[in-house]
Amino acid sequence: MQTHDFNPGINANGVFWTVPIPDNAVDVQFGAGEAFMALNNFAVSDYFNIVNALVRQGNVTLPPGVGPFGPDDIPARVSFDILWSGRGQKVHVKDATAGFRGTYLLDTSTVLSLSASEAAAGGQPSFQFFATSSTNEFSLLGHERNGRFFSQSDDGGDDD
Amino acid sequence: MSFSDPRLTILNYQGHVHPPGISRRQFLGVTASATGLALGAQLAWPRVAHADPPGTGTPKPIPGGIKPLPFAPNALFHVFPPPNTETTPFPEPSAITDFNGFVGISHVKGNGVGITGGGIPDTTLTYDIDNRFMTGEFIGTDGRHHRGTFGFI
Repeated sequence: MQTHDFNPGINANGVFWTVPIPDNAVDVQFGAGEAFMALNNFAVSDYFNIVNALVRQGNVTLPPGVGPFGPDDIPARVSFDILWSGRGQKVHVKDATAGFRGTYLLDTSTVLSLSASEAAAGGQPSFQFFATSSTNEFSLLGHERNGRFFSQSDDGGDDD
Repeated sequence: MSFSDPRLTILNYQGHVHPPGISRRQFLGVTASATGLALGAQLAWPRVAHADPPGTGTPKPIPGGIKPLPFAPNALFHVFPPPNTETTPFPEPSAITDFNGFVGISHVKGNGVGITGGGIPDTTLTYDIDNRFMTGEFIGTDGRHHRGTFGFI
């Protein structure tokens, strides 16, 4: 049973769980197949489970007899360091229907550290979490162009 | 990122109204077919015409996405689950559109310990994260070119 779900929410214009972070939180060496992403005590919210998160963030009107799926979200903080390394399978993707293209390295990533915390709030006790192991399920490092960049720079040749 | 108690069975999503115990990855994954440290940023910025100087801006969502809620079939969320080497068609990794830059996805599972109410670790938990970054140039809601770095968290 899922007990926590940390995410920053959906922007009013629909951008999903994606928020500005400092430029120096990410370092990419694409030619070497390496990247690093790190955030420390980044403010998010705990929605406790993903259905609760989607319903609340999507302003979904529940039919009679459906839900609720969880309590109100409460403020939380997450920290993590993620390393992408190695040069695995390289794939070139061009999808004119979706309007994107890119060159992607499918390889491994490793979570070097991961933790989360929240103060007691909303009837919930305080909570802390510390990861002790990680297993890569899937990772990707790529250069992508989409939307207007896809149509305007289709033959830019800078995917590699 | 999500945490769950491994002592409880994680159920596969079957399209019920109440999908208990489903992880973020499972939820996004099975619904895809329904429609989706101190660092020195040394980025090789892609060549782009009419690029303005770096600045703040609000990105726009990708046009497509998933409709994962069976009780709200019209609720569209502008994201696709992480692909894998066998996913066809390859779902778009970025969550923002009019974007030209680098993207990373890390889908990782693992174990950890939880501490409730302070004190010593009192719970063994599993976690499942799908974290991404997008860094590069984008055209914002203001119609202008910007450079920025974004985290999908």
